[in-house]
Amino acid sequence: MIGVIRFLKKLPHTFCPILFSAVLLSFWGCLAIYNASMKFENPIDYTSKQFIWLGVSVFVSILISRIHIKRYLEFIPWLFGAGVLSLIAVIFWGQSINHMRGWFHTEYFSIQPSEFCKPFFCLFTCWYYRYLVEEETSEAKVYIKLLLSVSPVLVLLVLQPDFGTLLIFILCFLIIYWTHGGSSKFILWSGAAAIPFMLAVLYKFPYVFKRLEGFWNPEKYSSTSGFHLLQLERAIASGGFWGRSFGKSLWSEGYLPLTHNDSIYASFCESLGFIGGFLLIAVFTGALYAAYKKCRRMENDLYGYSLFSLVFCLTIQAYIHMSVNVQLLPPTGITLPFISYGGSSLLSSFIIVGLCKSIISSEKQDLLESNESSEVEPLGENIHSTESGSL
Amino acid sequence: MTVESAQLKRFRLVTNIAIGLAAVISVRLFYFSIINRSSAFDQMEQESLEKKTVKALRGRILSADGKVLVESRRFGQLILSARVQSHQLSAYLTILEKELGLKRRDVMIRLSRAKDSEDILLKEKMTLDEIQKFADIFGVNKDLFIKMKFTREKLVNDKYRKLGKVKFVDGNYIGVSGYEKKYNQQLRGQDFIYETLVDKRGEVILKTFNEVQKLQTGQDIFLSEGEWP
Repeated sequence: MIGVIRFLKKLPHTFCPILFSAVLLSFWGCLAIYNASMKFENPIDYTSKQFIWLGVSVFVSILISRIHIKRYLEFIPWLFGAGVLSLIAVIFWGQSINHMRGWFHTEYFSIQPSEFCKPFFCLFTCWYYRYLVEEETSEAKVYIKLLLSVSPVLVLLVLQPDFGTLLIFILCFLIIYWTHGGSSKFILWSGAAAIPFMLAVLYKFPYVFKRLEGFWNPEKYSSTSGFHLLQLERAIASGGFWGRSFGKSLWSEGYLPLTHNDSIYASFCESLGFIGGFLLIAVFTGALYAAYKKCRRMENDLYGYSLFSLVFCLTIQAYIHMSVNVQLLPPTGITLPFISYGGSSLLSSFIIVGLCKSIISSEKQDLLESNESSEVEPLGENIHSTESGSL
Repeated sequence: MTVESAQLKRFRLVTNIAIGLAAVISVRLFYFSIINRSSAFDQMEQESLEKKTVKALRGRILSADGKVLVESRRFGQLILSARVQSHQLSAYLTILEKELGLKRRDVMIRLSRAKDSEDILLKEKMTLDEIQKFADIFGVNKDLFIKMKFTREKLVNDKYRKLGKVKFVDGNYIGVSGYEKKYNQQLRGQDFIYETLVDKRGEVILKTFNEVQKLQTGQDIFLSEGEWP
């Protein structure tokens, strides 16, 4: 009983706005999943599973946020290595869904290792870039070494093949490299070098080409590759400005495929209209802007870089998902962080939240420690000057 | 802040680009939600709004003392689409053999003779109990379904051909001679018509139901002493 009272007394002090916002967003997501899965035989099934994952994710996030970010940075090569191993394992022993071998499947749940790689990929790239800049003098060497170190992840994602997640990893890598002071010309060279690779992908995976065809002219391919895009457009149109409200959506219940994950933004807009959709865009953009503001004020560069990179990873994923849903990009299969159904995606997003919280707390802690040590030092100087003065 | 100013500029630029992207997504969302809404609705209606009709049961003709002379009977026909998937067919046939006594071999022979676009009549004149049993097992099914039919039967010997004849036109019986023609308007009743949205599989979205015309079963006609016999 006393323990509970102590915990409740401490609760206001442990309140974390980032975690609270993420949980609130996830509750909103659970509601959206329930709304999107009403057409299924058991609509509560997906929502209840998401709630369980949400509980696990919040617990993991709190645990992660308790540990100093230095500890993660010390072990980041190992954590990143573990991520690479999990991606290798999934190619050999994973389950194939929609021609993509990206899941470990158990009786009760499935796990997508590439989702868990995201936060550690960002942290590793930040940390390794700093390390290389201190060690190497040549810019080219820094870029090549950095690119080679992350390439196993990119190659393994191609082998799955999961081009949507690959796009997020590449964007994160390029933005981290460039914002940390990397040279633009290497990025341009890499882009040029990637063109034959992209053509090879189109040749090797005809479904990618079909998606592009459908994206270019959805009406022409309305019964095949353009079908999904047309339904996304109609679901959003059905919502209008204020939306049809939760539980009353028409299009999401009839036509729209994958309403609980890949198309959840359109389903969400059908229920809450333009207003709801715009609010969601503002939430993710606001998160990135807040990270930028926080990053500017941080004493430790690496902490600032890492915080910005982690939030950027979430925001760019949300942007890609929303862009697909409003037909600015062809279908990629990327989920909307915190909102879409999927345990791995939710847990990965909360790991990022935990790491962000850890970075902010660590910065404060370091600042306090340095203040304490600086308060002692002037006292010594005073004594010295008094002594010298007396002399 | 200890980050070098050039890097700080890059962070700011990335943030500004992100805000720009957010604006583009918002504009596109506004376009679909508001500007292009009516055009999208037109397309939606053309492709998916379906009018469905439930035929009204034609009224009976009775003599002055209440004897039924002509009556309509409703029955179901069990239809199997020739486009049915082979893996589903096996399961269907097992249940049909067990529940409705349809021999698997007979169905397979008929199916092999049917053309791709043909529907195969598996059972004529299903009773209401059989229809109910079917609905309990299969529910709404695109490949295996029941078509409701009516028959018009004279229950007496109409040697003077006073009762008349009916013709089956567009799913309804129309009186073409005798009392069937004379009282056609009353006997016919009014079909039930409703609009509904159907999904890509052609299945009805349950919440989208709009009544267009009320159902009225045909009236029973009592003939006077002079009219019958």
